[in-house]
This record gives sequence, structure tokens and C-alpha cells, in this order.
Amino acid sequence: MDEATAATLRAECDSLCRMLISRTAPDAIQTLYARAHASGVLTAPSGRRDRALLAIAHRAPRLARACDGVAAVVGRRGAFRRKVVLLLALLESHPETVQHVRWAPSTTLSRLRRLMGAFT
Amino acid sequence: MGSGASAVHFAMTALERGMSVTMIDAGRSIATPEAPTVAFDRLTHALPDAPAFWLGPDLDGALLPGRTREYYGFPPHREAYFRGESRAPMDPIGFEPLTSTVRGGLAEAWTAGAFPFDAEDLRAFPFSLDTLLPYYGLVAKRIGITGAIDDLAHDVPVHAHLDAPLPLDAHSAALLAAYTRRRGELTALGVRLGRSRTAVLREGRDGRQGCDSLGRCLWGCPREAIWTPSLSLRQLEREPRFDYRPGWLVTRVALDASRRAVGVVAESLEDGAVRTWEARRVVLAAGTLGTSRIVLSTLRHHGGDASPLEGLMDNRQVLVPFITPSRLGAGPELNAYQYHQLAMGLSPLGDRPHPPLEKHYVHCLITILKGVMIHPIVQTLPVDLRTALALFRLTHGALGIANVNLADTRRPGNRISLDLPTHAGEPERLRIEYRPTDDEPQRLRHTLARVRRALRTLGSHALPGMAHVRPMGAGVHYAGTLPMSHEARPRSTDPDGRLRDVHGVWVIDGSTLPFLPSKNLTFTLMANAARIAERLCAAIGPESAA
Ligand SMILES: Cc1cc2nc3c(=O)[nH]c(=O)nc-3n(C[C@H](O)[C@H](O)[C@H](O)COP(=O)(O)OP(=O)(O)OC[C@H]3O[C@@H](n4cnc5c(N)ncnc54)[C@H](O)[C@@H]3O)c2cc1C
Ligand code: SF4
Repeated sequence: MDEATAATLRAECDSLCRMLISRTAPDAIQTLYARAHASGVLTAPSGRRDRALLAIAHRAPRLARACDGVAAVVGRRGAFRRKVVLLLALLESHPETVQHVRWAPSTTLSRLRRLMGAFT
Repeated sequence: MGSGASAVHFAMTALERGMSVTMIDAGRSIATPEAPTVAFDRLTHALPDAPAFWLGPDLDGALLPGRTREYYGFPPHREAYFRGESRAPMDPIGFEPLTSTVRGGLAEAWTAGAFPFDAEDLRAFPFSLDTLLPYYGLVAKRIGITGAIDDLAHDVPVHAHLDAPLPLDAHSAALLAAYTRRRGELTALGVRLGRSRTAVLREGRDGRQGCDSLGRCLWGCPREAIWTPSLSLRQLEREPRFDYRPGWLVTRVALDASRRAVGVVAESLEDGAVRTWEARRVVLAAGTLGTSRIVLSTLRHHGGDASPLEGLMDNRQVLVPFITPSRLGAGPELNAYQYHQLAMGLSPLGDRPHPPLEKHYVHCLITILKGVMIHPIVQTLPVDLRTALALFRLTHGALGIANVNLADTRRPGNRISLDLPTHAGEPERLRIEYRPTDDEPQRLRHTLARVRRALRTLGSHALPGMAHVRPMGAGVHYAGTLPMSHEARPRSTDPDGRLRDVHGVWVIDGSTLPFLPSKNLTFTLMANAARIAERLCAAIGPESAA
């Protein structure tokens, strides 16, 4: 993988990671993300919509979530959505990040429990 | 031949009756669990290479969109269990077959549901429940089966050696409590709920440990609490009259001029060498697809009728995710038995041609979502993944899946045939054809409406638009191509599993089922294999055995 592609993937991984778990991607996740691309698990975006979504998410990381929302409805199988799902799979499989994926903050859960208690 | 659920119980009974057994098996090796004492919630931290464990060494075990609509993916190291053999190619049409050539076969990855068939299920069989019931007890004694004598017993017979069930998870307990409260209403709808029958140990025995709620069932129980055939094979290997020969792919039965079996012809998986293993009696247990291939190849090779074997069956399965609002915010039980702890039965509502109703008992397994990979689930929601993740975390403890199973019947056109290779030296190709009945969509619609109503009565709600009709073949309950019957017709087996087209060959796997009830079939395969072994041993007598 050339240096430019590697840098692009690093930026992409970081921006998507912030979008998913509000944290920068640890080095280990960056490495795995690049490895998945190199091994062909993920392919480059081919369609116009896919390329556009990725470009927007790159240029304006704050819009990454909106891009993913669009992809969830009209581009489920596209490369952009696949990248986000793969990153989530990596995050839930790695000891440094699993807790940010698997467990809801306990305050949220207890708030919800109290709310449910009010209705039951 | 074969070392699956069917084969090991045949072998155990045959050895108990004084026979010698040589087991020829593809028998590829299976993985041993890593970090065997660590529970699910700590596992990612305890593994030396967690991403490789969860996603495979090449990370290609991630379930990316478009790859599957299953809510549970096979863990990568278990996908290898289902790798096809290049020497046994298949061309399926309308069917997604799964086969296994590992030591222990498909049930190395099973979900351990062990439900005996009742008298109604066995109506098309050439023997009654009374005949089979002692063998259910025998198998239960060997492998350990838990369950309770509750409302489910209305349709799921009680057999000997039924052990007390594992403690219920809180969500299942809530559903069972709701059932108890509204039992009258539900039974009036033909719905019954009870404890699942599962092949799992509460207490350790035979070198296995009891369940300790590690929550790793889906990845292979490190305590061996869940029974798998390789555990029985390990016991068999200690027997002096048992000879296990893994690494051989049987291609056909060798027959003499009078069409009597004299052994099996097999190819070495290591170097392709071909050899004939001599035997006076051949017992086929390669699973329905594997056994059908061997029988067709044998018939073709010896100038018999090798036209397609009709009557292939599998259970249509529909996964119905549901949510129980009273559990919202409760949080999931990650370190708990992962598979179904409750089963629900829907009684048939009688015959009605327009619109058609499901004529047979419907069997549903209720699995509460516990420790699972999250990415396959959240990607199915039509929102961005961050929102989906937040929703999932808040609802995880309230989510479950009803796996709805429908019975199947033998119908012409659903068949297995053998195509000659296009180039010399290539193997014959197994063609598998399946078409559901024309009225299946209506039957499914009606059945799913009943399931949704039952769930509502239990205080749960099916998630709209998320029911997933699994492709045919995904049920992995294959049966029916060489049915047992009293009627002496070719390409069938007699009530004792003896293949009618040749001499000296017995079939003991799903191929011999004349009807496929909705209940998981493997417990019946094991009981029937033990029954056939006993009949065979009694017929040939101890003298001949020696
Ligand atoms: C994920 C999953 C979950 C399941 N859950 C349940 C459940 O909860 N309850 C239930 O009842 N059933 C379940 N099943 C189905 C169950 O696994 C099968 O019904 C059962 O394994 C069939 O056993 P068998 O011995 O007849 O055949 P198989 O398991 O197919 O075993 C065949 C054996 O033959 C060997 N073999 C095959 N071909 C050859 C050849 N040509 N030469 C030499 N050896 C050969 C294989 O190595 C293997 O040992 C499940 C299956 C899967 C995949
Ligand atoms: S929960 Fe599952 S993996 Fe854990 S001990 Fe029990 S059966 Fe085994």
C-alpha cells in the first residue's frame, strides 16, 4: 500500500471511529483497518453515490453520521456502509475498544430503567 | 461410515452388543477453545489475538452488508467446519446446503435442541413411538438432556433420563411467568410454552464439566457441557473393538457380483490415494446429502437405477426478532447459557384449502439475545450505525428471537441426482433441487400472525419488518431421500434401515425419515441409529458377530 493510500485510510478510520464511538481510533485499530483493505475484505467505492458519501465524510467528518444514515437507507451494500460496519466489527473485537461498543453508559441504562418504572 | 450424531450412537450400541466397529470418516480436525475458563464478558481481554478469534485471521469473518441476513453468524473458526470438499462438489438449485466433514459432523456446531417426536410426528414411520421411546431414554442417558415436564409435554414426549433444566435467564423467566398468567388464553389459541429440551449438562460427568454460565456456547463450550458427537467419539476410541479411521472420503460401497456389500471405496484426503476398506456390513451415516451421493454413485457404478432420489426435505425456518418492553433498560446477561431455554408449540388448526393453513405442529425456539457479535445485528436497522448502536445497547436486554420451524413432506421434484463430470478425472457432481409448495407464502403468513399474537400475549412484540425467512437448506435438517417403509419399493430402506437395492448396507441418518416434523430431528436420528444397531445385532446374532 502506498503512503498516500495509507494516510487516507488512517484519516478515514479516525473520522469513522469518532463518528461511531466519539473517540480517535487507537493505533491497533488503524492497523487492522488498513489490513482489511489490503487483504481485499473491503473494496474501493465504485458507484457515484458511494464515492460522494466517502468524499463528504472525508472532507467534513461532522457529516459522516449523516452520510451513514443515507447509506443505511439507500446504499446498504455499498462500499461506504461496508467500511463503517467493518470498523464497528473491529472495534467490538479489540480489547482497547470493546467496552465503548458493547456497554451503554450505566447512567443511560438506569435513567431508562427509571423511565420504564414510571410506566409499569 | 461417518462420525456424526447418527454414527456415534449406532457404534455405541453395536459395541455394547458385542460387535466390532470400524468407523471410516472424513474426520477433519476441530479447534479446541482458547482461554477455556474465561467468561464471555472478559474474553476479548483474555485472548492473545482477539480480532483474529472473533473475525478470523484475515478479518473476513466480519459479516458485512450483503453477505448474509442472519442475525447470528458462525464464528470464523467454526465456518471451517462447513467447508465443502472439492472432491464432493454440489450444484444446488433453490437450496443452500450445509455439510460437514469434520470429526463429529454438523452437530459439532449445533444448538443442542433435543426434542423427541410424538406419535403424530411418527405417523408415517414404519414403527410407533412406543418402539422409539426407550431409545430416546438411552441416548438421553448417554449424552445428558435437560428439560421439564411442563405444558410442552403435550406435544413433546417425556422420556427416561430427562435431567432438570439449567437455571432460566431473567428474560426467559419473565416470558414463562407471563405464560403461566395467561395460560388459558394461550392454550385456547393452540399455543403452549415450556422449557426447551437441550443436550447440555448441569453437573459434570464422563470427563465433561457442567454448565458454568460462561456464555460462550456459540463459539464452542470450553467445558464440554454441550454434547457434541466428538465427545462420544472420544469415549468410543477407548473401546478395544472400535477402530477409528479419519482422513478418508468414502465414494461408494464396493459390491460383489451378487450385489452384496464387501466394503467401501474411499479416497485419502491427504494424498488422494484410493483404497477399499473391507467390511461384511456397511452402515452409512454421511448425513442425508453425503449418504445420497454414496448410494447414487454405488448404484451407477454397479449398473443399478441411478435416477434421482426424490423426497428431499428440510424445515423451513423463519427468524422473528422480538422485544419485551418490560425488560427495557435491564441490560443483557452476557455470561449465561446462550441458546434457547424456552420452546413454544403451535397446534395444527386442521385442514383448510382456501386460504391454506399449516397442517402440522409448528415448533418455535425462543432464544434471548445475550453475548453476541453486535455488528451483524445493528447493521439491519435503517438508521446510521451510531444511532443503531445506541438503540441496541438500550434494548439488548429486551431482545429475543423466535426461530419458527415448519414441517416438511416428501414431494417429487425435490431431489438429489448425480451428474457425470464434464472432464475425465473430475468427481461426480451432486445436483440438489428444491421447490417449496405453492401455498407456502400463505401458510407462512398465517403462521407468523399466530406467532406474533402469541408473543403479544406474552408481553413481547415482534419487531416490524425484521422477520427473516431463511433460505431452504439453512435449517440443516435434511431428510427423506431413502425413506424407511414397510412397502418393498426400490431406493428405500426397510423399517430397520436396510437399503433395499443392494445387500448388506444399512442407512441410519436423516435419509431414512419418511416425514420431517417441525421439531429438530437429531435426537430422533440418534435414537433411531441406536434402535437400528440393536435390531441389526439381534438379527445377525452373537456368533456371526464374533
Ligand atoms: C448450526 C447448526 C445448529 C443445529 N442445531 C440443531 C439442534 O439444535 N437440534 C437438532 O436436532 N439439530 C440441529 N442441527 C442439525 C444437526 O447438526 C444434524 O441433524 C446432525 O448433525 C446430523 O447428524 P448425522 O450424523 O446424521 O450427519 P452429519 O452431522 O452430517 O455427519 C456426517 C458425518 O459423515 C462424515 N462424512 C460425510 N461424508 C463423508 C464421506 N463421503 N466419507 C467419509 N465420511 C463422510 C462427516 O465427516 C461426518 O462425520 C444443527 C445444525 C447446525 C449446522
Ligand atoms: S454457558 Fe454455554 S459455554 Fe458456558 S458453560 Fe454453559 S454451555 Fe458451556
